Amino acid sequence: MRPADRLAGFVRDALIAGRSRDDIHGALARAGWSATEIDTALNAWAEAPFDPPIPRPQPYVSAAEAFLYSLMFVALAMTAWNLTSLFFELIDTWLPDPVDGLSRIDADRVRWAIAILVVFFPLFLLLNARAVKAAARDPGVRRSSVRKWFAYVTLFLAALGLIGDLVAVIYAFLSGDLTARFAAKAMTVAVVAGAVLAYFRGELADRPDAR
Amino acid sequence: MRADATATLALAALVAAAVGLGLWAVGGPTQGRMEKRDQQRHADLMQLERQVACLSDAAGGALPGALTETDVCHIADRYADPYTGAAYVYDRLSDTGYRLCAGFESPDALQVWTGPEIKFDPDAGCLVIRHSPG
Repeated sequence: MRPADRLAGFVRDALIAGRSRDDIHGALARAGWSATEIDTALNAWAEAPFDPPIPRPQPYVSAAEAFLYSLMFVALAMTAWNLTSLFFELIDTWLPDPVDGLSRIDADRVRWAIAILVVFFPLFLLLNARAVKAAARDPGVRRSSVRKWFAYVTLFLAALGLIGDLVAVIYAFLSGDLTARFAAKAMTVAVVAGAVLAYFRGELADRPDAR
Repeated sequence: MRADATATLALAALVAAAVGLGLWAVGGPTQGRMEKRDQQRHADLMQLERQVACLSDAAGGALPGALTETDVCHIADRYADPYTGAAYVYDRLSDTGYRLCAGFESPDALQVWTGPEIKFDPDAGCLVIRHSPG
């Protein structure tokens, strides 16, 4: 049995035996459990006067949701990546660098990016609409661990993009390379990553039980 | 409006703008087909360039007077545009230079490798080649 399972079992048995939460907390603390571990174990049970103790809803994993959310977040990642690369191509064309031989538009790259956006962005919208509808129908869906994991991984990548962008801008500024072309690209990354970040902030804002 | 709905709308606007501007910059399927045909014409001219080099080697280094196929040199697949039937043009400029021309439809969009020996003249639709006998 894992330590967390032993802890959960102990808390359940103690609550059934009628011990107060403070007593249980004190006993576990003396045994070396951290305050966070104890609170997590105690919060798994509702504070209602009812016997036996009532379990609180917990995050869950579902294969169907893993499919839905992995496809949805891959669609969002593909959209963000190709949106950025398409704008980069356009910026390279509109703000040419006289010493850069790559200033000419790469039509193949642009066409690939358009093809990917035309498929993946509507797919993201469709899956997102399904997810929103499912959450409205059954608020329990919001506790999906898969949803939270994918959301936080995408949030992490968007945050990395923004941080990297900020570092690149500062470096370019210090080296005297802060050209209009570079500034436009940095702005593109900031806007796209900002939109992804805002999407997930909205998604996760009302999930206090996110783990 | 929720933050995620606003962000989704912002992403939709960005995607619509990017796709629109991208299509405007590179052209639609008609432009794409023109570029594909031009790439084939360019590939044909590059084969003809190797044909000229072979004929020149066979003649002791001198540029040939015309594009011909011989028993020794049969590198090129085509001597005429496969889409229009117009013959590719071999134009000897000097003892050390010549050009190969085709009826390119969108020469400015053609991405070709150029170097010290081969240049592309988009206005004339010709590869201008400096001949150095091997």
